[in-house]
Amino acid sequence: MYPWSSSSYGGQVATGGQTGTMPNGLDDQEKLLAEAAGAARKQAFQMNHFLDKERMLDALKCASTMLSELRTSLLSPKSYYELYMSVTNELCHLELYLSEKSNKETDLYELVQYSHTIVPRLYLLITVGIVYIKNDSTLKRSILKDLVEIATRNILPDVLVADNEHEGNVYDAIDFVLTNFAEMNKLWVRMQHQGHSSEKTRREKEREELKILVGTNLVRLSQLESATLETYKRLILPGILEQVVSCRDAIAQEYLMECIIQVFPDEFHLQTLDPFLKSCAQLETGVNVKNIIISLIERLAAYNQRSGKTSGNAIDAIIPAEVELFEVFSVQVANIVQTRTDMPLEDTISLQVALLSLAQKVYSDRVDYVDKVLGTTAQILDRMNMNNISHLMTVNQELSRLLRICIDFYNNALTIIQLLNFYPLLEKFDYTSRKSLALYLVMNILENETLVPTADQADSLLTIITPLIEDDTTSSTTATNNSADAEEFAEEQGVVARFIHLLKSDEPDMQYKMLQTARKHLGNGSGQRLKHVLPPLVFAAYQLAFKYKAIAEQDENWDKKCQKIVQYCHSTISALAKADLPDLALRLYLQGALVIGEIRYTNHETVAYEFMTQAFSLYEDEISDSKAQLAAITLIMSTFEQMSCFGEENAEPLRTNCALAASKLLKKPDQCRGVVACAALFWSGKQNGEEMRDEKRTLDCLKKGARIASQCLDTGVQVQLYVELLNHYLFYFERGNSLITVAMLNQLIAKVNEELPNLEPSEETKQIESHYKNTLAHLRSRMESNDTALEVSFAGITLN
Amino acid sequence: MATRKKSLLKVIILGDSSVGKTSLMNQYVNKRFSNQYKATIGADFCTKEVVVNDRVVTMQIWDTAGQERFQSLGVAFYRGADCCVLVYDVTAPNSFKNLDSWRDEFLIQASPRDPEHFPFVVLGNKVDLDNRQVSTRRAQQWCQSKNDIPYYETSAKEGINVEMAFQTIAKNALEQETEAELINDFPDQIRLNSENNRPGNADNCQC
Amino acid sequence: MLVLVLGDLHIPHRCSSLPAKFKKLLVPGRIHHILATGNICTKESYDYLKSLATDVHIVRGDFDENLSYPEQKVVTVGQFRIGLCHGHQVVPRGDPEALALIQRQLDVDILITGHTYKFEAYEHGNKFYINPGSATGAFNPLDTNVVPSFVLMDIQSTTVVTYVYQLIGDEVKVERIEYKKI
Repeated sequence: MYPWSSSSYGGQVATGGQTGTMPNGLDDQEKLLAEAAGAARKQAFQMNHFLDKERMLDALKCASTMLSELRTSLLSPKSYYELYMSVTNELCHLELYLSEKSNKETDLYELVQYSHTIVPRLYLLITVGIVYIKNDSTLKRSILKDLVEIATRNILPDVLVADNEHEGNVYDAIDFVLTNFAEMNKLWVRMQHQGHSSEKTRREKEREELKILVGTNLVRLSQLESATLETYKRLILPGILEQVVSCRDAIAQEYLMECIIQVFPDEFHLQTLDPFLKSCAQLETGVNVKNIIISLIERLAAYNQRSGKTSGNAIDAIIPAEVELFEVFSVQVANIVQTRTDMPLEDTISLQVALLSLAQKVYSDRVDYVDKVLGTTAQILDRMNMNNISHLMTVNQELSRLLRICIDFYNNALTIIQLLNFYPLLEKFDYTSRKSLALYLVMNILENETLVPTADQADSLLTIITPLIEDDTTSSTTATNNSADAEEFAEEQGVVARFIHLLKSDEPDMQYKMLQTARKHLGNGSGQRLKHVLPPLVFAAYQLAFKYKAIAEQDENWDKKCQKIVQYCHSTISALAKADLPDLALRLYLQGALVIGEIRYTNHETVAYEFMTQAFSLYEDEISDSKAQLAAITLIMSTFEQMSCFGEENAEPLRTNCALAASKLLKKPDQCRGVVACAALFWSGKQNGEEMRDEKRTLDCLKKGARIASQCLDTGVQVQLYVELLNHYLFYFERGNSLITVAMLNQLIAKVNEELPNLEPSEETKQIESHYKNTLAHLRSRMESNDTALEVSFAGITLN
Repeated sequence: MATRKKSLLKVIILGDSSVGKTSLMNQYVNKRFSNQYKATIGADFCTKEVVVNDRVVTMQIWDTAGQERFQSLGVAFYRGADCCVLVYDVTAPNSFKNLDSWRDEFLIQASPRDPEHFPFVVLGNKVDLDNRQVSTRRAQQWCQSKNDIPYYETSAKEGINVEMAFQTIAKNALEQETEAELINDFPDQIRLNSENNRPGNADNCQC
Repeated sequence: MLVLVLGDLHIPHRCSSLPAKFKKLLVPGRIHHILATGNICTKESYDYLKSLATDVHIVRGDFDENLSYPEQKVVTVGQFRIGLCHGHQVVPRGDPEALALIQRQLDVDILITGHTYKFEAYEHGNKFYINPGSATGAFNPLDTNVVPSFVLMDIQSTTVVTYVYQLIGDEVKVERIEYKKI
């Protein structure tokens, strides 16, 4: 007997008046079950006892009494099932015994029919029937028929299912199980409509618990080994689907479709995709068709991978070529989307995600399949007139997933741009989501170090990542001053900047084209963006110039091309200067001057000079902070000191300008240090390619420094400057500047000796003292040195 | 005391989905193997007669669903088990890790008298595949740590070690059975009349 | 005590990232201090260093925007006073005697500078000088063949063992140089 048909749902509808028979509390259930199980166990013990004593009739009587325990309406379906399990377990002992003895007990089949109630009689009949069949398979058909007749009449066939029936005529078995399945399912569905509507939830829960019994029928069908693919196609699947579709019950449909997917082998599914998917379109409104389809796709994709793994064949050889898996799914999914108008958009998109993963897992080289899914998705959105899809919408997540899966799967942005529908689909999103997807793509490029070799590819990628390059034109909200936002912005622009270095072609002309393309895109951003993304372009261009120089012998136009590159850099840097970034522009000009000086193409001197003067005018016009000024002029000087490309007519004004700028620094200590640094221009700075070694002007700088130091009012700073000066004097003295005399050194030493003891004790003073001590130690070591390489004499220096 | 000449041994097979529980059972009972994968729904059993210590016994082998959503209505059939077989796939590390929870689940649901000494057998299946991920040593260590569970490496596909593993299963189950009989659970009271006076029984069921 | 010395990364101005082979070598939890010679350039690069060791010291390079980085810094590790300075302030660039001026001013046993993009480690006037080069092998107008490099110092009481890691072609080569404090 089915658990539910003997529970309170069976036969008559439980009404409110019969409270006494309702299985109310959990405790009641446990008690009732314990009582019934206990009684059954007693009878079972007796039965086994009689079996041992070979008292067949007594044993059967006990079995019958034991089975009577199943005649209850008090148990919930679940408890009833438990009781049923323990009772049938005990029946196995009887069956075992009978199998041994059955030859002698030929009339048993008749005998058990005298049991007074139907339930025990049936179970016993079945048990005996099974024994008969096992012993003499010629009886199989007639007994089975007999049993089925009783069974279907009384709606009671499930025990028979235990019979693993596949000899002889498999069609009988299929027919029988399908009938049983249909009847069982009808009963199961009917449960939903019995009882009070307020108990709907409880009923659904109970149905949930029972579903396995219905599904077991499908397992039986899948276990019939003589049922071929042909049989499955022709009889089994149509039979199941007919029942599933016609029962019009969402719970049953969803569960049973899932069962079909799981219990039948992949080989069968592959050949029956059309009917199965067509049925999916016909399911009730409440059914989550998406999950069913995804489940099937996942199963087939896993099969493909598993089989590929074991057989070692090429992946695409696993699923037979004549099964056009992607096409079939693609068509049927479109059909489902069209017919099931109630399906939420998220689910429609999830189906596209599933299709995409099918394409990728089974046909990993078919970029066109993936592109087709993206195209279909864009069309669906078009039809619904969806644009500027907000990042706050739930459907956005699923849509983003679609694009992210593509990025993750290929791990190659160059494949992404082969997907012609990628960008059109991306354009359906709002700015925020487009930006986060763009960032996702760029991060992927960086992680995989994907090199972009052509200008067209660079163009496509830069178009995709436009939201990272330009501000949102659709929204009026501008970037806030929030520091967390600023940090995030800087990070994101840094990512774009890093990406620029991956635009890389071995072909210099192509590299130049790429830089131009990038410049066009990146130039559209605001000043805050330029600061991050233009410097990489400038450095990439500088590197390219060196490349042309290296192939000067192969490319007769290298000179002209270098000129163009330098122009490109010049205009890019001036864009930065205009964007109110003078410090950055100044540094880039200086780097440019060095590059030009090294490359030495036609006219390089004039252009290098232009770069230096640009740096100077930025210094003079735009940089006002005194600390920044000192840093800038020091940089200008140290850059110039290294350059050897200038003739005197250009070098001289630059030197003078440096000296002048240094002496005009605002603070005295800065002036002093600036002027002293200038000395290097006249010493190691180049004149017609050689170190200048202008003893007089070097000394002039030092002297000027000393004079400025003497004007400092803070004695601490003054002494510090004197110690520094002493070191610089020594530096040029050792280098052989003959105008620097021992007397000059002695004078500085005397000054420090005089002032140092008067300083207030402090951390600064201590630092000056050790600096001075180290300087004297150095001097001493030089004085004591026997090194003949030393060209100058330290004789006459007084340390104290 | 009842002494049965012939015993029925109940064996439960547990483990993650697609580790090969059904295939192992099929290989043992029917000597058949199929590469086709069919998920098991609920629980189902096969029987096979075996000779253990010169005794013929019937082994009732319960195959179960590995996927949670298809697990049976209750786990009533765990009760009265004489041996529990835990299966994992040597190419799937997760299925090995989950042995712990399968074992715990069984002990909770079946609540055997002496959980410490309840007979388990562990099978590492699919050793025919070449992408093995769980080493023999690791599996053996786990088994040792659980009171020396016997361990076999099997291939349902090639029939490797299947017969031997089930021999052990039967032997250990039989020992369990014998022990159980020594403390046989006599019903509290034996009433030879089968009259049942409990209220509410059969009162509204005509069948 | 392991001290990582590196600098002149110039990410993202001149290159996209540290060489992958270096990243593999630099694992969190093994390094005690990091001394960076500057041109770290972005917060991401700084955060990356922070993920390798919590004690990170940075001086300002010519392309560092962060104004809070000092021009020079002195760090004491074990018995060593170590001076740190980017070196773009030094004229002539990289001149040992000009660097000695800074060593005397900072009163240090070891002076670490960058800016030349070329690894160097030498003794001069009983003091030790290290230049870790550019960890990314960043572009440099005056030297078109920059070899990416960084330095690891193992400091044990009065001895420093310096390991220099250089990416030559596709291979990381390591050299060892020892310095003892007198």
